[in-house]
Amino acid sequence: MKNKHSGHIYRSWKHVFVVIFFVSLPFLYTLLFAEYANIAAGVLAQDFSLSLLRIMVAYVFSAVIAWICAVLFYRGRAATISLPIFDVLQSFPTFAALPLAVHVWGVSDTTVVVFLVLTVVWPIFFSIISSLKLIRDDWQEAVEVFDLRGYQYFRKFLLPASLPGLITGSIIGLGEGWEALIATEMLVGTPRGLGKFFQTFADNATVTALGIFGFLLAVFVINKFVWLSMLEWSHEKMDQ
Amino acid sequence: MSAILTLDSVSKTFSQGERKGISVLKDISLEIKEHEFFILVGPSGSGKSTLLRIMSGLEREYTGSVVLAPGYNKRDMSFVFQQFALLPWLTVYENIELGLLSRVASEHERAEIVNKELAQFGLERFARSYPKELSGGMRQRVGLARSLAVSPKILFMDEPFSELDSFTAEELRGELLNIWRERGLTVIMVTHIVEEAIELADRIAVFTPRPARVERIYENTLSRPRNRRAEQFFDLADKLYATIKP
Repeated sequence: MKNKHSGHIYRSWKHVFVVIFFVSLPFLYTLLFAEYANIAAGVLAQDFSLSLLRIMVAYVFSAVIAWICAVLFYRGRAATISLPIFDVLQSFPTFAALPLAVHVWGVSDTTVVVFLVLTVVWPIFFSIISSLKLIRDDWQEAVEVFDLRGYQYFRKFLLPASLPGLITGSIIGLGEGWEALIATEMLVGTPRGLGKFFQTFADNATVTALGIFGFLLAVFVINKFVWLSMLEWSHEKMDQ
Repeated sequence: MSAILTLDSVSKTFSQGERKGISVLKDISLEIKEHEFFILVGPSGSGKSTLLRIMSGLEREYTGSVVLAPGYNKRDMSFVFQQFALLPWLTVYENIELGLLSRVASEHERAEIVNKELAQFGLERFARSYPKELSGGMRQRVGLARSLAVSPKILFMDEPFSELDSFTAEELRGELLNIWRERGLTVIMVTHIVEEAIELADRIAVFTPRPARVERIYENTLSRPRNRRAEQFFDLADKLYATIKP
């Protein structure tokens, strides 16, 4: 632990190697797995990246919508009226509307993304709300006295105050999102993607199991290196 | 001295929540004079903080009138909070800069003002620190620096020293008196500590609770610096205590 300066992300060479190892692990695994299951590694990678792209697009929409709604409805009369409504909407059985959506948008990325947004948006929304509820009255008063507004109000106050909720909500939302993604892809019958992949190997338990393991590996790496470090960082900042 | 802030029969009754229908303030009329150090003293829960918030414009639900003297506006007012109200995700520097963001466009000018306040309160070394890394006394110094950075003419203070240990509070009271004199401020402060009120104020309004009324206003003519062991100090304290608990 020579580099104990706060600016350093990596604490030692060992740390650097462990990070490199874990980041490359999903790629190595994909190669070996493709070899074993006798599929072209490129095809597998394509299926995975296509699904990843869908969930990322859906996530960006969800985060923006959730953040705006949370900011609009977190306090006062707006909260009293709207939160029970959102609570009911959250329980809306999304998949019941799937056939209708396919009817409207066809077997398309739009259908998949819209359904993902409907799943991912809720945990993010409610987590941001709970973050914003932690805003102390005197912080709000300080912001009023010191006349913070517009962009500065967003940057110096609302965004930092909502960040822990945004991150926690993103972790939960994406967790649910991956599940919804594969289900939606299968039900809609998209020609490519992870849903398609697992459907292709419906009769092969070994490939399915190894596929799920590889998938978990990728999610683990993303969580460990992106979300959990962000979560830690945001809690550090919010600490009073 | 002319009046800077005039209150005419200010009353407040809670309109919602658990305390709905309870009258907190009843018929309060006051005149705050320019450049004076005015203190509202009374027991906890007597509504003094609510009155301070009404005077500063933070609380808008009340009846009666609060009028600023011509030539003054909302931007001439600033506020020091009991629990400092520093934003934990901003550094000391950024917290002090907060009120300047909407008032001073040039970043260079802002930096000049912030650095001046950092120096005034001996906070230069902590500019890049976060509030949680500071002691209570240092945090309230940041709170003071932030409120003074906007060059207020009227400074509202809500029990600013009650969260601090007595040594730190003593030190900060001294600094506050100097700043009040040097910058020609009008200070309106709330406290529940009678001795603190006598040490600082020109005039002391004594509050009695439920609903709060101004029982009496005492002129404090003791010469400064005030000696807490002087006989006149005790005399005035006795009068104040007697008014609070008749």
